[in-house]
Amino acid sequence: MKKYIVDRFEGEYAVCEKEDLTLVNILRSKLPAETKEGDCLVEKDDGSFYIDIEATMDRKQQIRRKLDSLFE
Amino acid sequence: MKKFILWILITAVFLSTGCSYIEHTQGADDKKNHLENEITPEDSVDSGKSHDKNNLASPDNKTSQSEDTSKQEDTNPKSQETDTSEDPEAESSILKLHIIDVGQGDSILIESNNKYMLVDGGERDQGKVVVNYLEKIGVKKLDYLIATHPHSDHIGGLAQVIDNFKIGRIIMPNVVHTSKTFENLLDTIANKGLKITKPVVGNEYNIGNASFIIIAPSSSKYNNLNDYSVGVKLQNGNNSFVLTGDAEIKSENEMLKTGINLEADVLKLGHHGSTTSNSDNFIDAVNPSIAIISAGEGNQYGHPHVEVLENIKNRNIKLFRTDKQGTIIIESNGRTISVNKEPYVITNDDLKAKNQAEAKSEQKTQTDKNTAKSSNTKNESSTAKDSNNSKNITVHITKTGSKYHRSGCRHLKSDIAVTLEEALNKGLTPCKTCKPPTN
Repeated sequence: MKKYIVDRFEGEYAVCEKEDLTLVNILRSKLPAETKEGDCLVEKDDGSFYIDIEATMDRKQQIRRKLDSLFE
Repeated sequence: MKKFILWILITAVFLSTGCSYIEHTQGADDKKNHLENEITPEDSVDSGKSHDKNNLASPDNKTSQSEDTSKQEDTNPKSQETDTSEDPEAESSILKLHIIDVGQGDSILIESNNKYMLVDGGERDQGKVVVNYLEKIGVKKLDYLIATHPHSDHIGGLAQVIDNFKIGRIIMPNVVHTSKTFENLLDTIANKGLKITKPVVGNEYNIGNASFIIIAPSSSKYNNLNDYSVGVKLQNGNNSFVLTGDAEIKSENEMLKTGINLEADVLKLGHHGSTTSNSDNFIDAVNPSIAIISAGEGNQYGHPHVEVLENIKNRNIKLFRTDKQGTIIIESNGRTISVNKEPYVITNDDLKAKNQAEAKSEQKTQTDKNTAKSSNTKNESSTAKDSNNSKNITVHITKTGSKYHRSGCRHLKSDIAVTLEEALNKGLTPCKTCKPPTN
């Protein structure tokens, strides 16, 4: 099981951040249709992907707190 | 704190227009000036401006930086200090813009009179490139650091930059991204005890002998991170420069409504020269004589897009692009602009790329139109052939439109997920912007 975070979409690709922070282009057609920027993805052993909704929510909240603490 | 200052400024203006309480007005102005200098030294270092129009002694002139920001026409930057205690001749009116070649990404260094601003820092693996470049120029402190938006090709290298230089004001949009690259950037800022300023459209800052005004983002919420991009217009004498990160057409349209005069000599084309940005209306408004594209050679996203190159060519705008020419250095003396390279000549081959790609995608199944020219081995998918049939591919349609789209396409007003087969059976055709699969 590999994990990714969708950094952005560029045309037909989702540019995804791997756990080692390097990036990989994954065709959007391989991902769930509802995939959005910032979603945490899990690649199953059969090569299919699903969105880890809980992990996505957790990271959003955690990083929102960090950002809010930094604004003047 | 800002609200307090604003209150004082407004009070000062109110009192000064009220005929009486002259002594108080003077006192309030003194206090205001004191506070301005104390709080934003980097904003107040500029003195002895050579622009005659700005040489107004009225204290009220200075208030324009903090208030009345919505209707500024910044052809005449109002916020410059007019302290005459320093010799104006001692200052240089040269502004340099370095569009640093960081491959697929953006990183732009602006320098004026030994003050520096960095807009974006490329991908994470380009941090070292940017740091080395800044060191070579002699940068010790970045007076401003703008992270236009949280995508890795704009912010990836910034953590390393922050670790290596003194940093003044950091400007970032108020939007969260979940990537570790973004989180690392925030951690780096926190570890250095720095703070972040939210961009406010109309706010104006001085950098050396030049100034810049925030022109985007206008809204607080967008559907995609690109539209959160901080846009700025730089002014150096009569020369001006517009940089909009990856702001897409939605944000470009908002910039047109700010009331800020967008006309500029130089436009860094949005989103690496992609059709998601660079609308005709926006280019009409900026009306640049020079366009810049920051992109990686042979990038897999087809940047810059042929449609944008065609548009630039048809408008006879001089083009410079980092993917073909490396780092571009633009110099302004306040009157004229020079560039360290000859303009890039758009060839028929550049404009043919689209047609070839279209022909190719008709022959084969849906593949990356840039695979042929790309040597990037990171693309795992380019080897995984798309043998999907149209029943297994999901596309998105609207209630009434004649096109079908990818998820997230800006043309999706209503969003109905269907299989590609269904979309084709309805007689819908692929959107030209998001280029969804065709079979």
